[in-house]
Amino acid sequence: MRQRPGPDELERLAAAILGDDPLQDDPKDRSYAQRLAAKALAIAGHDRLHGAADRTVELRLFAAVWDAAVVNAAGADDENRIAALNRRLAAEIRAGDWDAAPGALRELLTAQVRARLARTNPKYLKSRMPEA
Amino acid sequence: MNDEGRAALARWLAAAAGADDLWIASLDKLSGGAIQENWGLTVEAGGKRQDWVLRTDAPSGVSTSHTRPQEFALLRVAHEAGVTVPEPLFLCEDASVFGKPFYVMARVAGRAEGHVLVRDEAVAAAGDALVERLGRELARIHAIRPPRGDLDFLAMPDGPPALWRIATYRRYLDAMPDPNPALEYALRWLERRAPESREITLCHSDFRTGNIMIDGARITGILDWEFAGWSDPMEDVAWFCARCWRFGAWEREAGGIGSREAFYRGYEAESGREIERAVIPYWEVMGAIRWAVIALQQGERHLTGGEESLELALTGLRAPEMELDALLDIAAIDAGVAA
Repeated sequence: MRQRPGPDELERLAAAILGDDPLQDDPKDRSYAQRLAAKALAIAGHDRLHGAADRTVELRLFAAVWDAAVVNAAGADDENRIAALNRRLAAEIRAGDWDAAPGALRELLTAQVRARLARTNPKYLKSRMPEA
Repeated sequence: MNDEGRAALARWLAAAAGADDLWIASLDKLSGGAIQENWGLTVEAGGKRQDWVLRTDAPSGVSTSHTRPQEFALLRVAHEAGVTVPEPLFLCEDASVFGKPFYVMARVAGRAEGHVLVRDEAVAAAGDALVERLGRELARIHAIRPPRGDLDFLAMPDGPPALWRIATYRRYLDAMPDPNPALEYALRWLERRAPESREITLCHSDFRTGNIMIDGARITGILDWEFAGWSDPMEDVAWFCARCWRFGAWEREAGGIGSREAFYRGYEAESGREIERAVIPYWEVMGAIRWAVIALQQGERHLTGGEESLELALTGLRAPEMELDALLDIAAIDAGVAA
């Protein structure tokens, strides 16, 4: 699922805060603004390393609940496919179409949320799901 | 603020306070307040120094929050009901005095920051006694019942409050560019299990660590009434206990400060009514979803609202924390193992 801002914007925002001053090595020595910048850089770094793989995993999760043909026909590229499939899933959930299959749906959603938390707050993910 | 503006404010305050010799000793904008702007105001009149807070709109108020005159009315009602709030003093609706409507209240001592309070030694030592007193405070708020002519600006839910909330959060999600299946799932789950509320009372609707001023181990003020409204009182009880407001002190389930049972004990002693324990986990899921939606709205202020801010952007990226809480809580409730 698309999470914004993406890495380019996060790096730009962090750079605007940091200016020419490097981040303090010890997090305890950082100001609040510097801590925000460090967080933004960490998320952007995750995106650079794992962004493409995360999209592949998400499409695989969708393929487990819908036909591969449905997944492939959803958009021109991975990003558009994921956006279209999430839009469809959200609408179907609201309409009650998934009421009869809560287990499969919860598995998909938990995997999605885990992936997003691995990006934005891996420490929190670990505290809630040590096995993750 | 320039000298002319300060003089105009002093004249207005002097008239409101009935003190011709009143003058402003200091006026400084206080930190925090994404929705409202708070100014520390010290005045002298009749040889006596008084510390007040002037509260007005921030440039980008969230549209769902009350106006300052409405918030002032809420503060007065709460004060009269014996809730520990900063004493509301004066309301000014004339925008020519300060540039926008404002009100003045007494300044209370203490700190409200959640991440500080949950690690404070005096707070930790008083833990259960403190949350028991907070339970009493909340019960006093919930003793305020509709109808109230002085609160006629508050909308009354036209059905179960839970369904009202769900419709509101869906409307907020629909206004965002990206769909969110996890939040839709939680909202659908909440919709199918929406409780009939036993009663409707005034709810603070943001009664949590972070909005409560504490000095040592003393509660000095319940703050931030901008979301107060008529609702199911159990929603407030659950919001205070929701995981997202424990600031990392997970084991102290009542606001990261004390035990859930101590909080309940104070509430029940003051109100004479039992907490509906069976519905609290439901409302905690609602609370997680609410905070997730608010976080996304804050993120949108940066993404599409023209307010460039890394802090807002990162707040939006916190939504998955609450989504995971909701998913895990729902799984536990469905499995019959919820707290």
